[in-house]
Amino acid sequence: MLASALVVFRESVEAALVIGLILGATRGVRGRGACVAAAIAAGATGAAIVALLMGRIAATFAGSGQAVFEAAILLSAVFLIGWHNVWMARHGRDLARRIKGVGGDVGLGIKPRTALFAVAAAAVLREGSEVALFLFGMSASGVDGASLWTGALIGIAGGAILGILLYQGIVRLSPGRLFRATGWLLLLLAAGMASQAASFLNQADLLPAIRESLWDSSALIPGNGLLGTLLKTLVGYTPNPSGLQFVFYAATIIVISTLSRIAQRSARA
Amino acid sequence: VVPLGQKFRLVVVNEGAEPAEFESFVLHRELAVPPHSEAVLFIGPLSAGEYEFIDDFHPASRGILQASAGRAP
Repeated sequence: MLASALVVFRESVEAALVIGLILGATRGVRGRGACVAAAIAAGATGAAIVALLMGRIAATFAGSGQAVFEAAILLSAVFLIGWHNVWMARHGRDLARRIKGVGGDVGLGIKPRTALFAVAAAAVLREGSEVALFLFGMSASGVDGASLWTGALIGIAGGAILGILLYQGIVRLSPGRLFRATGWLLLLLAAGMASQAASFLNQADLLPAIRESLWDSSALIPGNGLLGTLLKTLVGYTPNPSGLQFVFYAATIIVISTLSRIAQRSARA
Repeated sequence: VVPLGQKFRLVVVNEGAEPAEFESFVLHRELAVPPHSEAVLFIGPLSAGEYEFIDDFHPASRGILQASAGRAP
């Protein structure tokens, strides 16, 4: 039970943090609770399907299908977050003012902001498919089902608590600050996802690593500890990034923040 | 033991009845493998040394890839 709780916890923390952040960032979107719930349900259903097809996915791309699939999901999420951030750079201030004034729901900005729900679904899909593969496989192998699933529920609950804490932390901010904070957090999240995608593309032999390891800070913050996992999800922390990961990380930050600045300037003009 | 200084293809075979996940932090590799099946990943070129990997679904099982000269995998 403890073993399954730990495995499930580690995977669900990552998805839960992304969901917490997105709930914060979509403040003021009508019906966002239902949207996030739908995104989680869609992601979980997709995860179950992916887990069942894992063998077939792996067989594509000369055996590297899994890595290509992960990279594709990550890069789509990066794109959606980028689109959201650029849009918010233009309309964020106006949006914050309206939320303050009306005190709640605004119809403004449905499009790019709802794209974030797809990012939530993608996070659940990615982490969930590993959980599903683990749970389906374990229960098929004949381990005690009750303790397996109890462990899984404890793991998910643990992950959810961290996601809720993150959400509670960011929604205390005033709308203006909230959107600035979530903009930064989403930017770092996107950069981290891009860096993970880079390592999957390297794993599939589609891109060179450039250098296997630029530095090694695993003695300082190990990548597999709780702090390492939190930082990995939120800011893309890797104790020993490869050259390729670094390039993807930096490029994501530069491209999204440059486009945001251009959008902001044209909004003022 | 794996080759030194060149890229190689590693086939991860899960012979067990339980799912497994080949994961190496040093090598940035992560690959879930369903029971009784196999999956592929590319590693390297590596410099000489030892590289730890674990089964993320059974964290107690771990192993080491040793990159050294002159010996074929």
